[in-house]
Amino acid sequence: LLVVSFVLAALVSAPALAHLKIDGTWSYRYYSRETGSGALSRCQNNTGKVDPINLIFYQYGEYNRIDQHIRNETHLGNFTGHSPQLLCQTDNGSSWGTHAEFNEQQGHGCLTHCLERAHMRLWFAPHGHSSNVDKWTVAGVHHEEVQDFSHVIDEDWEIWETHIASEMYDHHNVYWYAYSRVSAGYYRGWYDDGYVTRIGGLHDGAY
Amino acid sequence: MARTDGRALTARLGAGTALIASGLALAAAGLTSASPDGRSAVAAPSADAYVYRVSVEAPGTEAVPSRVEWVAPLSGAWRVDGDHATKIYADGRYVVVDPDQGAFVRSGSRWFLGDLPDRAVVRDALRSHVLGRAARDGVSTRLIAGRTELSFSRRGIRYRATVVERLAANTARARALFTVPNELVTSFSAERRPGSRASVPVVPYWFGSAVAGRTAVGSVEHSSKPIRGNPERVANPRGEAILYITFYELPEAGGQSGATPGQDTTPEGEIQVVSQPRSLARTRGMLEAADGVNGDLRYEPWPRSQVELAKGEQAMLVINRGEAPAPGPDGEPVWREFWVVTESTLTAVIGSFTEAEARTLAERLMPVG
Repeated sequence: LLVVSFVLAALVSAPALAHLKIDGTWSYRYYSRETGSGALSRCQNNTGKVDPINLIFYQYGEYNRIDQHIRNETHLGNFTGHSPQLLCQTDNGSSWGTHAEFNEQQGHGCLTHCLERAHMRLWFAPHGHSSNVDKWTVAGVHHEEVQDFSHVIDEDWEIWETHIASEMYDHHNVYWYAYSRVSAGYYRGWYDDGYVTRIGGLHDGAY
Repeated sequence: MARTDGRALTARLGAGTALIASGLALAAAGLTSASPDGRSAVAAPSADAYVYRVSVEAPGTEAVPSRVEWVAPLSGAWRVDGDHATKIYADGRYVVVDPDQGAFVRSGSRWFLGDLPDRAVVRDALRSHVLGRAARDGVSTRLIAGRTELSFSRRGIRYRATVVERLAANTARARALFTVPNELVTSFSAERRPGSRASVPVVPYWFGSAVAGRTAVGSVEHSSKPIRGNPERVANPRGEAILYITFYELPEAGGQSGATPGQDTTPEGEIQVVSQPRSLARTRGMLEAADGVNGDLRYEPWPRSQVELAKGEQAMLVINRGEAPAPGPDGEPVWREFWVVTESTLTAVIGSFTEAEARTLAERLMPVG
């Protein structure tokens, strides 16, 4: 019955919501996943969480444009040496797909020669939208420092969600605390308020 | 099976609100005047006669860059000025001072601080040098152009550190090297003994000292005002948070929890019990999501049902259906979190639960203290 209701809800409501939600359930999981064997199982079983996906670029959030806007308007930019993660996505609430990231960006430091950095992973919507207004991209951003050849998170997840949105605020509509995803709590040792900030894709009101 | 009783959660704020709301003013005042225990955000180290400014590098590698650390080697206090923020550890407190967003303070034991006290690379080697036991501890020292150079290994990596400045502790204090003005503090998190009374204005709930084979290993109080910076965000009432969290862990967690920094993920089987006042805007936002209003999205309200808690208190039980469930062994949905809503508090229980398990656990919740 639950599956049937999910499918019916998806058929009825998905187009209007740009596939963000299937009735009351989000069409992508809140945490990214590692690549490699067993990734699909991790998505299906909601295990193996890595980073909160704490930003959504919607509406007019076509990924190439958003990627470019982030490079132009924040202190982040492209780099080599990506460490890809996956987005878990569903069309019906029960069967899952894994989707590779579109790009990574970093700033306020760097990967190999710096003390620290801000690091963002971007995923485009894993399905097409015929209308520009429905297009969306999501991102997970955090801050980390170099410790003995590894990178460790060193600030609350909230700080960098806010930081990036503030840097884009001058040219984009920013909806602070736009969506409640999960309860606030501590994840991997750092505070996450469970809300996702929404950033509109229009730049100074134009596409 | 949960049932929908047709009542909107957001319409049920009751008499408890006024008490909580008046407490909020106290919390806000506390944030701008002092940390919860009344001390400065970070205390200046008292055990050291000198504080050292040290340049650290890892010869022969590009992966670990040169960095400058201020270290008080005996107390273990340190300060690192990074690209955008300053990090300070002293006297059981770790602070991030972000000039754009404010200062974030956390205090507690190793359980809550994890490896944060150890993130000054040179601390142990410098301590060995100051105490005159460098050779015994495997630290080689030499004088080059009047400066002390230390060579040592840490976690398998060879480092070279040069002391570039030595300050008397009084001078370090006068220069406020390890002190953060309280007016900068926008967020604090403090470890509490599980079951201890809340010092932030929330009526917290928990399961007692153990539940479902898990032990209450620690509690955290978290309070944050809107982060500084963007005026529109500062003005958004959802930026205020007051939380009391108790962490329950399986024995396999080995002293770690989701509150412990430096981990790749949360320990398997962890349950977090997160209580926050219903009067907060951010809590109302969660209840609106349960009622089918989440930003610009609209959907059918999530089912909810009445539940009697351990001490006879009546509450509403709601499963957060925003995150899609995982399939259980017999096909039953397994959810990430459920919410128990009382007159004063929304308590989110985070873990992995079927609907039946959520109800059984909810019936065991009781106020802390």
